[in-house]
Amino acid sequence: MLEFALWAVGLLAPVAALAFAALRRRRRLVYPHGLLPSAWSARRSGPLFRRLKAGYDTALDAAAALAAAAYLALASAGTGTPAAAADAAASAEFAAGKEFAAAGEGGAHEPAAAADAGRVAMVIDCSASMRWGRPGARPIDAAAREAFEASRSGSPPALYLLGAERGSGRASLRRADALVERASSPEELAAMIESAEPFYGVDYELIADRRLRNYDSLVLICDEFGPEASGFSVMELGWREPVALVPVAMRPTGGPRDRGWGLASFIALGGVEPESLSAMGEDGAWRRTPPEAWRIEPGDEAIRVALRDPGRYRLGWDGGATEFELPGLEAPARPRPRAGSAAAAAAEAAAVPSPAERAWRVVASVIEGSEAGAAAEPRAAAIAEGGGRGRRDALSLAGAAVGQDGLVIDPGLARGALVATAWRAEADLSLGDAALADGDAALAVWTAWEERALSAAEPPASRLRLAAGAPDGEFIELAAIPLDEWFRPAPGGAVDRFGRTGGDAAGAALRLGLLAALAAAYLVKLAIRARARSATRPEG
Amino acid sequence: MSLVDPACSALAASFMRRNLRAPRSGSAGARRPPFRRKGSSFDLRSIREYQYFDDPRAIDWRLYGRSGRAFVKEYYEELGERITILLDSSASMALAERGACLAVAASLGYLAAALGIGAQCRFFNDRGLGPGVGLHRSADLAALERLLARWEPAGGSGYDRALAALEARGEARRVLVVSDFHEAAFRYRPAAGSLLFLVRAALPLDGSDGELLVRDPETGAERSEPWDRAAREARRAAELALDRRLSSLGRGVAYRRLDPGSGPGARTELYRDFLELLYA
Repeated sequence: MLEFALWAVGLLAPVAALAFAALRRRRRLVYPHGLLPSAWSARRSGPLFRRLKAGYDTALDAAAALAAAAYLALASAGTGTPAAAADAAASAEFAAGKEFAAAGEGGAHEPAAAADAGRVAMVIDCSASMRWGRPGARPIDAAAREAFEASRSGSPPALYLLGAERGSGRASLRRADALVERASSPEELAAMIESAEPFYGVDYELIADRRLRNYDSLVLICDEFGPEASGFSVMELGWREPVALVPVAMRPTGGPRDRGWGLASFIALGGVEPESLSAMGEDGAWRRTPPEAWRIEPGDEAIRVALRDPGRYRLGWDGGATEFELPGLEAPARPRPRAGSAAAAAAEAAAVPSPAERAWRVVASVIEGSEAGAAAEPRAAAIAEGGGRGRRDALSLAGAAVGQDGLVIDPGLARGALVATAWRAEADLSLGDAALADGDAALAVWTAWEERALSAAEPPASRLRLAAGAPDGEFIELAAIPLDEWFRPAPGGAVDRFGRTGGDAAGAALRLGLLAALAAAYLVKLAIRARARSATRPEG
Repeated sequence: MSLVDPACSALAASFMRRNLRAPRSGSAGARRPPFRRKGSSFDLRSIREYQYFDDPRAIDWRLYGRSGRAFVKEYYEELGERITILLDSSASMALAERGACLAVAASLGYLAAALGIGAQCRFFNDRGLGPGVGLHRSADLAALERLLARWEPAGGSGYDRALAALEARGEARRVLVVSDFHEAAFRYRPAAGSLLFLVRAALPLDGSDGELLVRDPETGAERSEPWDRAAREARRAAELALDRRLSSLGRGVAYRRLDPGSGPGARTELYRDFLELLYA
């Protein structure tokens, strides 16, 4: 985008200069319109054609400049300029790459095409199948060992992780030189990679990414590569039968079921069974979870571990462990009651001019007199008047005035009754004089507050409700491991490193389209010129 | 300084001995002389003795010398022999060469007076006919030049309306119109036997290439026009088309173009053409 902007500015500058010069050269004169050439004036579209005739050259030049700028930006991006400016997706991945670099050596390994020329790139497959097997004998362990040893050689390769984004599962290619330089052993590197990548699935088409084109050679380290590799070499570490406890669903703690206990469900692969459970403490150390805080529930299709508290856990099994995080729902935040009795607050309410203050006092009296209000934790809360829907720790109210804002119908039309007619969108709740005069107004305010407190814990995108309308606690955490990760890859297909992929075909089509646009602009210029010439032929 | 072109006196002398075209044979006056009114034409109606109410200047002094009695000659009224010079005073004419337009009007007025034809010069625009001056003698030329000095183009064009008004007054037999003729249509057609001589004062438009913001002097409307070689060619073609249209209006209509910058010589040719048609 940046390159396009630079090219566009450069190419549009002379066009703008010509347009400015033409504007400066425009002359004003007085002359009867009837004696001007009338070839286009007689038509209804005459003014349009005259305008077009006066400015078509500039307009077409500008269009051609934009098309040429887009073509040049595409061409230069495709021939090895920094990919950071190429597109938004690449930018996001680049940003992720910078995170690794910042953690290591202060950004010393930002992708730089010129520096990458002549080097070898090593790409580690971070798919779920790379973690199958006994700890220490998994493909990812072997891959980390290869990467670690290669980084200590005379010409260390550039390390990339081919994986996916956590949560969304979108395929990604991230540079990880900082990880391998920070690691002191292959085991540590494997742990770092495992914490950096979610190990869902991979998209091998990313081998054709522009960032990898400048390298002299490219080595893909994977467990087993099904397609035919073209333009790069593959180091196959061998397929392992999956042996693991794979988390497939999470029910957070604090929900309405089972006294608020959470539930983590796992699929057992390779016949493993859970043996221990550790929880990460606040200091980051793993500690064995006391028996009263967890239990294994019986089930045929999955291993279900019920947990009392939210947090990060490690479920150990014979030869390995699975880490997972159990979320928890926050308790609803309730407004803190003010001092004074309910009756006194209600009596005072009528004398207070502000609708929001009146509502607050009525709510306060209800809370004080209710069991829920007594049990609620004292939390800071406020009621704001006016807009601000969804503000944290504040319930916004909108006052309504008869005949002014349309929120209350004219009493003359409603036979003297005050009837609410509309709900102001910018506030959580719309209360007018009529609503506050009602004894049940506090219930509406209280309900709105409770709804806000419950909806504060929005499930992330990677969570899926079990059914429409199900309570907030009823959702599962998506594991996002594709189905083919569970099976040995079948041969077939091909992956080409040098762009003979669908993405590059689209790029070529785009470039072709831009060339066609340039040609079309020139043809239009010729056509308009020919039309102008034909218009100069004597009539009759 | 006189507006009359210097070659006009010689031109008048060359046409002095020629007879004007005969009156229309189908006119009411020609068919029934008793109904023709007295006037100032050259057609003799009667010779009678001088009466006290007669103008002494009308006494035929030759007859008085021969007979010793005062006689006066009576002539029939003029039957449209007088020419009418219409000068367009619409706003667009401000772009024409003022000197050339006034010279045409003044010179033709002079020629008509010198040849004893009689003439009337009037302005016109979209409001109809404006003030006019009649010329019967060379002495009336001063009044014509005073009128022409007051020529200030304003308003819209309206030659069709002016010619129709002229015809209603019976003054459309011999008409010369000086205008830019920029209106799309020319609907007026002269009656049989009449002469309509159109003189188009071409308006100059030139300059370097670029965009023109053109304001119409009569409507005030503005429009943007490209001005380049193609536009110049288009305008030249439009001028030729207008020339063709005006010169093919039919029988009784003659057309000449007065180009900007054309000197007295070109105008003299124009006067000669007009007089030739008049005396044909």
